[in-house]
Amino acid sequence: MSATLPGFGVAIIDALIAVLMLFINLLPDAIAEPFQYRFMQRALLTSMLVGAVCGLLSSYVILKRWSLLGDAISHAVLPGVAIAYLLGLPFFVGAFATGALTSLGIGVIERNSRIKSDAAMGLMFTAAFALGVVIISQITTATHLMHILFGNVLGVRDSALLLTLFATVLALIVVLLFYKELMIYVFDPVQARSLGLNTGFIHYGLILLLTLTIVASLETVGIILVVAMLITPGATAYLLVNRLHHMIWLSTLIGVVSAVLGLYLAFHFNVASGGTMVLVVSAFFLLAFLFAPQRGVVMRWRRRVSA
Amino acid sequence: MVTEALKQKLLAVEIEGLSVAYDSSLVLDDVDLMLPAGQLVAMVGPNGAGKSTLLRTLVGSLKPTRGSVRIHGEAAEVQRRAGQIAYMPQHELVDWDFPLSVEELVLSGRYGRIRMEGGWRRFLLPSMASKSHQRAVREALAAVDMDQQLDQPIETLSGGQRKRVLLARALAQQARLLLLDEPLVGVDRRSEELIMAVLRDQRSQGRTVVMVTHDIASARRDADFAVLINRGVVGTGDPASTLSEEMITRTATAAWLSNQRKRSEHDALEMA
Repeated sequence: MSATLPGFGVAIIDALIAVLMLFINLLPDAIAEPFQYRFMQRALLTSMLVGAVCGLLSSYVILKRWSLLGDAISHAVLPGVAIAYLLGLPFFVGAFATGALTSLGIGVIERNSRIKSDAAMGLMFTAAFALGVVIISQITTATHLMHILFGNVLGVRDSALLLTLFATVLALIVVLLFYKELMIYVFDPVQARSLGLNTGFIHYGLILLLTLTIVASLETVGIILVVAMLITPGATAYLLVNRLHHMIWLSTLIGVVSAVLGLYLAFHFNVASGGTMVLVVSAFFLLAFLFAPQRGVVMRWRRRVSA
Repeated sequence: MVTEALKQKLLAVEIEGLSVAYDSSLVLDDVDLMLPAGQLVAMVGPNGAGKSTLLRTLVGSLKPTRGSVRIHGEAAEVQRRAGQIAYMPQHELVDWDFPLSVEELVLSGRYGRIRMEGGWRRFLLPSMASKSHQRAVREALAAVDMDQQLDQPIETLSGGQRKRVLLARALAQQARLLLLDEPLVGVDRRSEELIMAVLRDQRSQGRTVVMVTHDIASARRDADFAVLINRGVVGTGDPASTLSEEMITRTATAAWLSNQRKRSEHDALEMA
């Protein structure tokens, strides 16, 4: 796959890694040591990008109550990966196709029957996941399918790294340029309509962006855990701040820090990287849940005691 | 002969043969309705009569199955895109845990106008909105006596304050047509008087104010024009006669009977 990539893609990766290393080399040797390896440098760049794009969108996932939708899309990606493997296509083509089809299917069921959205999501994504499991059971020598289920940031290919970079840049541009439209749509879709906004376009645009992000994060954290990176950073930030733009930047930061810290710990203790990243971000959430200045459980309890 | 131009001047809303389904049952069936421009219009009807549905169809969030809606003589969507339709939802339908300040919420009423400025400015973050938009926000908040709470998170507002902030968002839009869903429910006397004063002021500036309300006494007292609705338009005209005791009782009874009928049909189906 990497042989077919245009040279400038690889050049961009090399340039970004060079910039990262400028900062890494400022750190004490004991911390910087693992990043002398080329595969760790690539893993660091990938982790930062995945953390950033997932964190960025996770504020919208939380506020729009799309956690289950994120879960649904990430599972629905599996049959696409398997089919793409059988056809010899890049995995993300199939993954994006079945992820997007499933989110459309959920909308179709919701609008054309009395089935509510939670059940529509549940039945669509389990059906898609089941199809994926059945197809994969026919593929005997598919070690990289395991990577897609559970992720392996240490073995991320150039194609996946570039896709992650593309998703991150696109999400950043969309959020910056259409901040107002997204805010009004997520906060009050009826008001968005009264201003003449095309809410259907915004709705499906946001879902497609979410699907792209999930597909781009697959090789890093895997199908099962990617949704944690789309929920937990936003949920953590939601407990800490009162403004949407603060929430978005904080959740992005939490995403990046968790991914990097997770990668480092995974290397240090020689454990699965995707799982470690999710454990780190979950630890951040627990800290916020207990100690957030206004909303933390412990802080509220202390205020009650002292009052 | 009534020319098109004259019609535009006199009529804010022209609805013809409008049917709207919601959750696969027909809530509005073949409705014809004209609303005069520059007046305070009260829309009254029993629960489930389709008042909010009619409002949300004007706003554009519900698609009619049949019929046409024209606003200020143009297709409704054209008027929406021109920022001429402002909307105030019932405050229970808004997520008040959303991380916004009072100022940010009201500024979102200006988003249509910011978009219409065109060029690169439409892509700027709301915090970079030009002075004219910030001024409109402050004026709207001052009108509802909320200009001391610009930076307050919306989750800390009381019920009456929430109503007033949502009204300020609609005012900030400076639209010709204001559509308000139950602006007086759940507010204290002081807020109610303040809101009604603001609405009368809007009317005197030549705007059309359409409010859905349960409060028949206030509709009789404050409105210039009344619409009585029960799945279709039962009556329109001056509030005193349209909302007379007799009309109200008759409509309420009809609604009660049709609900009873639906319930017994439902029971029959359940038993079958």
